[in-house]
Amino acid sequence: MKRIIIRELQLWCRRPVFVLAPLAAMLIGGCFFLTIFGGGTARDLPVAVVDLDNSSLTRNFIRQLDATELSETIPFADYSEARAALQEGKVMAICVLPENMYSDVLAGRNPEATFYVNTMYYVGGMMSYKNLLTMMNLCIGAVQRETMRAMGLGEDAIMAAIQPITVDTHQIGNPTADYTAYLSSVLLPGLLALVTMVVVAYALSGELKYGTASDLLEQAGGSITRLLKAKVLPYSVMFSLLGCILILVLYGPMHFPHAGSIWAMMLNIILLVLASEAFAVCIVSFLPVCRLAVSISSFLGIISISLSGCTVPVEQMPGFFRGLAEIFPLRVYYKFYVQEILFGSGFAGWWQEVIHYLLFLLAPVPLLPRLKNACRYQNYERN
Amino acid sequence: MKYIKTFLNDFKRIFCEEFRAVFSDSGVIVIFFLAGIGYPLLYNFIYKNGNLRDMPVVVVDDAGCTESRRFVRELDATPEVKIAGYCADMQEAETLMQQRKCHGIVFFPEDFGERIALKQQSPMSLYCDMGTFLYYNNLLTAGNLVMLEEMQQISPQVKPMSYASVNPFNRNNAYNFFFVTAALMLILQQTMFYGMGMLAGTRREEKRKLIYGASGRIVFGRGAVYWLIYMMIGAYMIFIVPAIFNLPTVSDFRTAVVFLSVYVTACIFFSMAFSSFFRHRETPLVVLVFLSIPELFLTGFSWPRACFPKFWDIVSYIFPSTFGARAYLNIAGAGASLESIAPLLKILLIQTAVYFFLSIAATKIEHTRASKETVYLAD
Repeated sequence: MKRIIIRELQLWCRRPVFVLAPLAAMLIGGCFFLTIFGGGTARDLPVAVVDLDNSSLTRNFIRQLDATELSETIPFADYSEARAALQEGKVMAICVLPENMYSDVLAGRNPEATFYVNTMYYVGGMMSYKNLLTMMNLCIGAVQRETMRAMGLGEDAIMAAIQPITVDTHQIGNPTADYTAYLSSVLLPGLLALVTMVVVAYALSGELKYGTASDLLEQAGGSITRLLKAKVLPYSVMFSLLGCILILVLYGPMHFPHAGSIWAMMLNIILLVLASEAFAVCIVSFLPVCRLAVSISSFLGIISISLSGCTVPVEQMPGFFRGLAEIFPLRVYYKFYVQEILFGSGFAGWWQEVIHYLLFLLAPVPLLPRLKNACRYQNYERN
Repeated sequence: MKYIKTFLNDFKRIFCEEFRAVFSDSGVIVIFFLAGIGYPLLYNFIYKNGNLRDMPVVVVDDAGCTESRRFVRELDATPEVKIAGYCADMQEAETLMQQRKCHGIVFFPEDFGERIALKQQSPMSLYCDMGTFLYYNNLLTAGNLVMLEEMQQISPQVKPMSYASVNPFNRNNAYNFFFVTAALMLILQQTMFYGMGMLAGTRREEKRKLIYGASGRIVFGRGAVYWLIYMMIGAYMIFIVPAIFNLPTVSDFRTAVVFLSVYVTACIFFSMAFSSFFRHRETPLVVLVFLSIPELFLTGFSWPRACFPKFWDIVSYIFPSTFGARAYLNIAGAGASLESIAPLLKILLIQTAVYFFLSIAATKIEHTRASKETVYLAD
């Protein structure tokens, strides 16, 4: 067993790709996802404004809109120019303020402003639209307030008349609706799981490809379980370490909100690493051909991010995929994360997920004889 | 004249050789055809339902008044939210949310109706499940729309002005419309990138003799093979897939063809330039598979480009997918004309030129190195 581990470490020195690939992936991926969303909330999204009125009311509205955090206004002379910019994705939305808007408001003729949104650029479009709606409703309220003030009503009565119901929104587990915290908490472990699967699949099937597997099996005394344990152990240590560093970074210096404990999340990520390795072993046992094993595990790793349900909820997918999602370790990680980080529920919330993880570790067992034969006879295509 | 003849002969030879190499390698066939054809189908099936409908929400109604019950009724009537049940207190509701049986809680305090009757502002609360932002978005949208409607019911006011909203390109705010549309272009680039990397790695691994000939001919000859294959796969992606799954599609055939040929060409030289780095057959996948996800985000399909930090915006200029996906979102989703995506096509053409010269340089370097090795062996 010791010999195999030492052999593996020597292999790492000879072909550093096994260490460098995961390190580079986590480093680049980590830097990317922790910085691409800026402060985690969108700022200064470009919104085209077509002001056909040019009155003090419309100019004031545009100034106010520009002053909000979400929008930055870009003036356009007419609608068709603005529409072209919308189609090119240069602006997220258009706000058209009609001619004679101010005089129509004063005369009570109820002028109509028009918003155009491009939700092909989803987040930008939706956010800009939300902001336009808020600002327009505030503008309507401001005019109503002026009228009521002139009627001699008190401020409280005015507010109650304009907005009888107020809604407080509570975002459980992510109070600022921080996009970085929301996406990176699952995407980065997803990257780790993907790299784990691909690298372990490559390391294992590489033995078959270069014809060293039968030799390795001999060193392990003919026991495939001992071979796997020794071969995969260095990877488990490396990836678990990477995972723990990731958790420490996310909930330490990055200050992601967390209701639960970091220790539980470390357990979660270590189990994720082990389950991903087991997944890779299953793939190699099914397909003991290096390039197929590597391609298939990378395809499945990429798909598993969509199927984890961190962006589009799984219950919205067609029935087949709702079932399929459960065979990916990342889905379990996500469910564990929701319980621990968002609700802080502790063991009572995620014990089922731990069992689910353990099932992954048992999954390769029935496939081992197949892998053993592949190792012994090396009778599969090598290239 | 003679030069043209040799050029064409070499071109033909290299083209045939590369063509054979592609089709005799099952790994490459898996990536080009299985992934290139299968991925679009798979993603379309996964995201078939573009919207989250009737998300279960529970109500804790301590007021039990006319207004709160009308609010709940109207909330139930929105497409976004479904009232899954009533809870006696917040604790019960929280437990249900933790058990993932509901994804939102609507809470009315005891004095909700009383305050309305007294003509005071009356607060209520929405508690959102932040497990995914779609839950949050659904409850917020439904809650705000009902609130605006209710305010008009409770205290009818003369509106000094009104507004109309038009969402012309993705009327339903469907998720699959923009996600799959952007993903298609990324799949095209990535499958080509990994497949070509794999072929280049194999060639080096087996120390198979490099095809001789001037580098220009090699680059053109090899490129032509991929161009043929990927124009077919690309046509499948932008004509057939949207037709099967009712995705937005390019209405103008000429625009589609011009865009596709520019994009495919840029992807080919991009992949060829980078494939010269791989010494082993599986390394491109092992080392670079993780890049697909950042590349997808760099297209700006979800998080808006206007919010990218400068550094990542510059990095995005490396990949043709950034501009290909944006151009395709615009022509397919928003019906933009060829003229309006011209700036994006220009960037793709510049990329093509840069990567073309890089591929030629890489081929040249490899040749000199190979010939040196031969000399060395001859000694």
